[in-house]
Amino acid sequence: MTAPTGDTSPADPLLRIAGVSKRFGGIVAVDDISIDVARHRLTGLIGPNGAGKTTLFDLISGVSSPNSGEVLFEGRPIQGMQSHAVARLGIGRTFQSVRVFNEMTVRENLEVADRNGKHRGSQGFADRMGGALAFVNMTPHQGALAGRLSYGQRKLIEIAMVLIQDPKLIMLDEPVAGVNPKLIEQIGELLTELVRQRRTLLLVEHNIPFVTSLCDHIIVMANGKLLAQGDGEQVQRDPRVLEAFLGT
Amino acid sequence: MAPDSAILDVQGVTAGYGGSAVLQDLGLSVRSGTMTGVIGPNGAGKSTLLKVIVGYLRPSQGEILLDGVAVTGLPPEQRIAKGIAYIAQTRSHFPSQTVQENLRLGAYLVKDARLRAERQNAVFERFPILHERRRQLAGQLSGGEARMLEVGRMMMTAPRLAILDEPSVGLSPKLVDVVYGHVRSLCDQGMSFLIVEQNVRKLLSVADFIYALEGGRNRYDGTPHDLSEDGRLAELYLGARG
Amino acid sequence: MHGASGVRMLLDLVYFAALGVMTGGLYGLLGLGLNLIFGVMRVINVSHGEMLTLGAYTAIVMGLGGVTSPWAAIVAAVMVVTLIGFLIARYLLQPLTVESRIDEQRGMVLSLGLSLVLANLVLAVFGPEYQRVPGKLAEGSIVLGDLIIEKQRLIILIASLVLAAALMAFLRFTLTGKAIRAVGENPEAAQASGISVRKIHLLTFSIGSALAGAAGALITPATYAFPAMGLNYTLYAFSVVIIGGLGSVWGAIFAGFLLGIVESLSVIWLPSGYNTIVGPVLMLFTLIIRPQGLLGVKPGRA
Repeated sequence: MTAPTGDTSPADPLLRIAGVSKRFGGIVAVDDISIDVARHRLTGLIGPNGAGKTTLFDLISGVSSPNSGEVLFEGRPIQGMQSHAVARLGIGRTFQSVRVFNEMTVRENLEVADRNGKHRGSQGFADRMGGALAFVNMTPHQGALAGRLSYGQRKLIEIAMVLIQDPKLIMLDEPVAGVNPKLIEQIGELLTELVRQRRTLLLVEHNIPFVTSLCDHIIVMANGKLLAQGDGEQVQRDPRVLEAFLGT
Repeated sequence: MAPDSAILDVQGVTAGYGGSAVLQDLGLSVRSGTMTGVIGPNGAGKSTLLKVIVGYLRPSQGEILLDGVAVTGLPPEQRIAKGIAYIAQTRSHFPSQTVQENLRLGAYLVKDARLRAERQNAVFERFPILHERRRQLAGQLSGGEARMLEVGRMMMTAPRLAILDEPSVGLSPKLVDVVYGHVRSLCDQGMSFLIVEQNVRKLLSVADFIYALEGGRNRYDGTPHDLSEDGRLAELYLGARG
Repeated sequence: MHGASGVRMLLDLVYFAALGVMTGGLYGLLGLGLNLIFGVMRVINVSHGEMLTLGAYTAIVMGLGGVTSPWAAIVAAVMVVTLIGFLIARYLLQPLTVESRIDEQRGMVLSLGLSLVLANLVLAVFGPEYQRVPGKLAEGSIVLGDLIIEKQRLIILIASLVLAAALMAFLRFTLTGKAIRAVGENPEAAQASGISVRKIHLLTFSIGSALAGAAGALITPATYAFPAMGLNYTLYAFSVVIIGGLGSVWGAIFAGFLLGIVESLSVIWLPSGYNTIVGPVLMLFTLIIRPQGLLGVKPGRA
C-alpha cells in the first residue's frame, strides 16, 4: 500500500477523483487528491482534524468546486455542478450536523427529501417512505415532530432522507458522531445491509474503530493530502497513519 | 493531607449538552505537583471534561473535588479563587486590551498590590518578550506570544492546579517545545497540571501520568511508558487489536 | 444661481447643521449605552428607549413634588433608572443565562415585551398627555449673527458628551471597566481570570440603563415627556449603532452627530414630521454600502 492508487484501483469506479485541489486563500485544504470509490463497496475516508475530508466531501457533492482536477461520476465530469444537480445525478449526502427540519413531522421531512430526489415527489411516495422508514426502523415515528426525536433518531431520519432519493452513491458525513454505542452498532448494521443491497457508500467518520471494522476500503488523508489507503488491517498497521492521528 | 495526595478528584462524572451525555461515569485524579495528561480520539469528551472541572458546565452526576472538598456547585470564578487556572484551546486572552491589562485582569482576584507586582515581575522574568510588548494590544501578538501571555495571565493567580486545553494548537513544533518547557518548569516549581492534547506524542514525552478516554469513558490510565506499549495507542486511535 | 441666495442657502445649512450637532450628542450617548449592553451581554435591548422614558418621568414626578432644579431631577433619574435596570437584569435577564451567555433571541424578545409593558405602565400611571417640568437647565440663547441657539440645547450637548466621556474613561482606565470589556470580548477567559460574568452583566445593564435615564431627565426641560417617547429614541439608538458600527465606541459618537445633522438638515427639504425617517433611511444606506458600519470592524472569525 505504498502506491496511493495502485492495484486496489477498480477498473470501473462509480466515482473517480483525479488530481483535485482546493485552496482557501493561502491554505491548500485539498492537495492534488486522486482516489476511486468502487461500486457496491463501503469506502471510509478518515484523517485527523483539518485533514480536508469534509472539504473533499463538499467538492464531490457540489457544495463547492475545485480549483483544479476532475470529479467523475460514472465517467462523467461533475466538478463545478450545483449541489441539487449533483443530487439528481444520484449522489445523496448527509451533513456533519443533523439537518432535519425540527418543526416538521418525520413524514414531512421525507416529503421534502423526496421532492429533491430523482423521483421529484412523483407517485409512489408512500411506498418509498414506507421502505426508507422501515429500513431505519423508524416506521412508528412517521407522524412525530422531528424536533421531539432523540439525537440518534434524527440521525436515522437523516439516513432515511437520503435513502428515499434512491441515490447510487450515498455519502455520509460522520454518521455516528455523538451517538451512543448501541445505536452505533445499529447504524453499522444498516450500512452493511445497504452495501449488500448493492449500494455504494462513502463515509467520513472520526470514530476510526467504527470505520476500520466496517469499511471495505479506507482512504486516509492528512493535511489535505492522500496519506494511505487500503483495508482496515493495512491502515491500522501503517505507522504513518497512527502518527498522523497522534499529532506528530 | 499527605503531600502526594490528589489535588483534583473527578468522581463518576456524567455530563453533556442538551440531554446527550458526552461524559459517562468518568473519573480521574491529579496528584499534587504532577503533570497529568488526557488523551483520546476526537469526540472522546476531553474538552467537555475540562469544562466540567473548571465549572463552565454542570455535570448531571458525579463530583469534582479540589483538595478533597467538593466544588461541583461553584461557578468558575469561585474555583479560580480556590486555586484552579484554565487556558482554553484558542484565544484565551483579551485581544483589544494591552499585554499589561491582560495580566492585570488575570490578577482580578488578587487584592494585594505588592503580590500583583511580584507576580507580574515573575511573568516578565519568564517571558521577557511580554515585558517588551507590555503596552501593545494582545491582539497584535503572534500565536506563540499570545500563548505565553495566557500562561502569564494564569501565573498572576498563582494557581495550584493549571488546566490547559491543547496548548500546542496552532503552534510550530519549536514553539510547542518552548511552551512545554515552561509548563515543565512551572510544574517542577510545584504547580500541578492537567493537560488535554491532540499532540499525543508530545504529551507522552512530558507528562507524569496519562488518562486515555474513549467515547466519554475511561479507557486506560497509566504512565506514558505503559501506554506506549503493546499497540495500545493503535487500539485507542485506530481500533487495532494489538 | 444668484450670489445672495447662495449665501442664504449656506447660512441655512450652517444653522441647521449646528442645531443637529445639539441633538447629535444625545443620540450618540443613547447609542453608546445600547452598544455597551449588546457588546457585553449580547442583548439587543429594544427597551433602551423606555429607560429614557422612565428617566423623563422621574423628572416629571420630581417637578410635581415641587423640586424645580433640573439637576436634582437628573440625579434622581439616574438613581431610579439604575435600580430599575438592575432589577431587570437580575430578575428577567439573569434567568436566561446559560453557561455565562444570555440567549440572544430570548433576550431580545424579552426586552421587546418589556418595552411595551413599560410604555403602557407609564401611560396607565401618568395618562397620555404631554408633560413638562417647571425648571429649565438655563435661560436665554446664544446669538451669533443669524444663528440662535438655546443655552439649554448647548447644555444638553455638553452633558451628553461629558457622560459619554465619563463612560469611556471608566471602561478604559478602571479595573472594573476593563473587566466589563473583558467579559464582552471573551466571557470564558474572563471567568478564568476570576471575573464574575453574572456581576458584570448586572453592572453593565445598570450602567447602560442609567445613561439612558440621565438622557431622559436631561431632555425633559427642553421638550416634553409622553408615554410613547421611548420608541423614537430606541430607533435613534439603533440607527446610531448600526450606522457607527456594532461595538464601536467612536462610531456611536460619530454616527450620533451625523444622524443629528442630517436629520436637522432634512427639515429644509422634507415636510415637517418626516424627520424621524432619516435615521432608518441612513441606517438602510449604511447596511447597503458598508454593512459593518462606518467605523465598525468587518466580522472575521467567529
